[in-house]
Amino acid sequence: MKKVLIYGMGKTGIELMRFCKRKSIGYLTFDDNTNTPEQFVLYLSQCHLIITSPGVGLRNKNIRLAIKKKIKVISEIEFASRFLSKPIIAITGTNGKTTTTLLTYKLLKSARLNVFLGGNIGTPLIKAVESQDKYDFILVEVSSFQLQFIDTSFSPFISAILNFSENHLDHHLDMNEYAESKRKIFRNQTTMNYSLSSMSELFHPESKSIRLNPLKNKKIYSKDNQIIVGDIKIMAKELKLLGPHNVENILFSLNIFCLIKKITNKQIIALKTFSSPPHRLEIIKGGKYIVNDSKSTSPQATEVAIKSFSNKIILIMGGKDKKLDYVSLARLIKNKVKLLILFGENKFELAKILNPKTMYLAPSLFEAVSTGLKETKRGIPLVFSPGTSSFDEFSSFTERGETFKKYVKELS
Amino acid sequence: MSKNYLNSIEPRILFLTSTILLSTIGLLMVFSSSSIIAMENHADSFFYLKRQSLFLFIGLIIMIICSRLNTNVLSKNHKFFYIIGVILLLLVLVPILGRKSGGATRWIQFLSFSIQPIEIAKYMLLIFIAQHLNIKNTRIKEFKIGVVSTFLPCLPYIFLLLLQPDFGNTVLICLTVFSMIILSGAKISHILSIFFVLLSSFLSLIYIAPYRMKRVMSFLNPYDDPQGTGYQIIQSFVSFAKGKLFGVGLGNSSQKLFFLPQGYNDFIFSIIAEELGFLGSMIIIILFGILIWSGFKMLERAKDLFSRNLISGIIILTSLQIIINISVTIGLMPTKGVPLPLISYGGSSLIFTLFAFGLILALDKRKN
Repeated sequence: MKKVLIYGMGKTGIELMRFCKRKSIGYLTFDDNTNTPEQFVLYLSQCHLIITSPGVGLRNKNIRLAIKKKIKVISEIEFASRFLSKPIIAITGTNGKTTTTLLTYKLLKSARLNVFLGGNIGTPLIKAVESQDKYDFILVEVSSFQLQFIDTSFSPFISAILNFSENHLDHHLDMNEYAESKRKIFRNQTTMNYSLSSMSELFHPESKSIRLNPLKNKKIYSKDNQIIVGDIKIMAKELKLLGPHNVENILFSLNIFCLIKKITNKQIIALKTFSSPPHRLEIIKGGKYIVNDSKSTSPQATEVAIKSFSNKIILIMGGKDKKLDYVSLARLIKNKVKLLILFGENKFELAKILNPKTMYLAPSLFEAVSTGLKETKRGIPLVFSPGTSSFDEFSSFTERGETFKKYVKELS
Repeated sequence: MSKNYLNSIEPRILFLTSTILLSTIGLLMVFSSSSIIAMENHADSFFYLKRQSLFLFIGLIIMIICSRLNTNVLSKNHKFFYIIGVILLLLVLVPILGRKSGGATRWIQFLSFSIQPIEIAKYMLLIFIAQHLNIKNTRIKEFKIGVVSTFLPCLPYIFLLLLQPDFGNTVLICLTVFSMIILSGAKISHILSIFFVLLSSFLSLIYIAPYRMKRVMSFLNPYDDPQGTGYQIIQSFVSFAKGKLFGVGLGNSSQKLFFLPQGYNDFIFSIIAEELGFLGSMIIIILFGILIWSGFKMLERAKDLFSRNLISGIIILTSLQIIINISVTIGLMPTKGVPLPLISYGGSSLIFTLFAFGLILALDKRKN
């Protein structure tokens, strides 16, 4: 009997291994960090199927070799789908996946539905298989890596692509391949499934599913700083989510929900009390208006952050020097940033390119926070949106965000 | 090329055009195949034509009214429609109302007209099943909640049909509901398990009632009993043989001269084949093809599950009727008593087929 090869031994790989063990499926494990390419060639002759963890893409030489040798490569979500009989709701997109998925989760929960939450956020989908009887829905955030290796089983009841722009090209071969992998979220959907996207070119030509554009729903829409759901109007001020990009996320979540149940007051309350997940334009509780956007690892993300505020802000930026394009950001900073505080490896570089009216070069994040706190007054938010990755000082954006929050607590 | 050309035409127009063409051809063929029998039995060769024209007129009006219907009325009152269907089938069993014909009680007498309740009831059931599947859609992959709970409501219908007995419509309803459940995404293995249970019970029913056995046997070997059970099919074959490529010409059928009983009804396709030949019957089949195809086009652009379920139900039911009826006339299936939609003589069938087509047009309009 040929075995399955579990590729990547992170959280997902370990869960896959446990699952195979319990179901007595013969398996091999492989990880780029601990195994050699020679071993992979050896393993190839012993397996008939490769199950990839998120983060393993077509750029991976071993995977390309396996495909060339006609060995089936599928992702973990595809493998898990073969064992799932509960309806799946799948959400993907370039930006805003996690916020939308968490909001959808909260809306479904507010209707007393039992929902498994997983995929890219936290729990791998394979963990849902053995406990699926107690769930009404399986809600997954999926990345384009996982979608790359979809075969015929992953067929969600509702699929959504929130938006699509250039990003993650370091993991994909080119833009076409990136779009093609996103589109796969719709591919296996049947006539009685729903596909949601605001870009009609993203719908899969082979699928006959019900195609909906959540931004063109006549009953749920946004107008002049309001979100309108039937007869109910919600002012943007009443929400804890910041920024126009989140309006689209909210519309997607509400549209997904209304395909399952009617929107009632309970969902409106859930929406009003929903706040951003940590490090994504997260409002820090306290006397002053302080926002942690440590998730921002690109100039585009910082742009989105700045646009989320109608007033001028104080902005803290900086981190690893990645040689990114800051041209359009520079213009925005000139108009909307009262004081720019720079720190980290690329602070001198940034100072030169962005060239704002007022700026402060901080020797460390601690100094940056302390200056920022001194300068903030009523109505002027202090925003931490680094605009680059964190690897010069921190292991991840989470650690960076946590450090920021710690400093804010210490200093105020 | 032809497919691209068809694609560019609005499906509603194709659907309506083929419906009207087919029912007009139906009218013509009913007249051609019934005039002599009508003269003999009712002393008026236009007897069946007059009645069928009236039915068509009523049907078209009902279709127009239905196409403007707010279909939320259907999905909200699906249980009500279900009960109406059951009541109609129960009426057949009431001795004063039920009318016996050919060993089966399938009609209720109403003034000078008689109604075949199943022709109405089957669409009532489809409305119910469509909404039921809409509600249960997310659990369709579970055997009990998805599949069994959808099929259970069909059992009273099946039971009442078997009491008549109406074997053909029983099979028709089962197959349609199965197809709808499969389209909703149920596992094939779940459907198969129910299918085999039903199949075995049907087979036992066939063994119990000898006339069903005879019908099945006659379809396999019609020449064993050419004057008895095999008679209809043999006469049908003769019609096809006489028709050849171009047919004997409209009105020139000799089979309709009492050789083929019900030549204007279930076996109208044989008369069409005789008078219009292979080419004529192909045109009818192509028109049916366009009808079904444009129906599916409307299904594909419907934006909610109820519409998709109901459109698919009606289209599948119609297709199965066409397939079963034509198969019977060419000896591929045992004689069933299923009319050819839009063409066969019969008010209940014509009016309520048009009623259902009106619903398709209404569902196609439904937004959000």
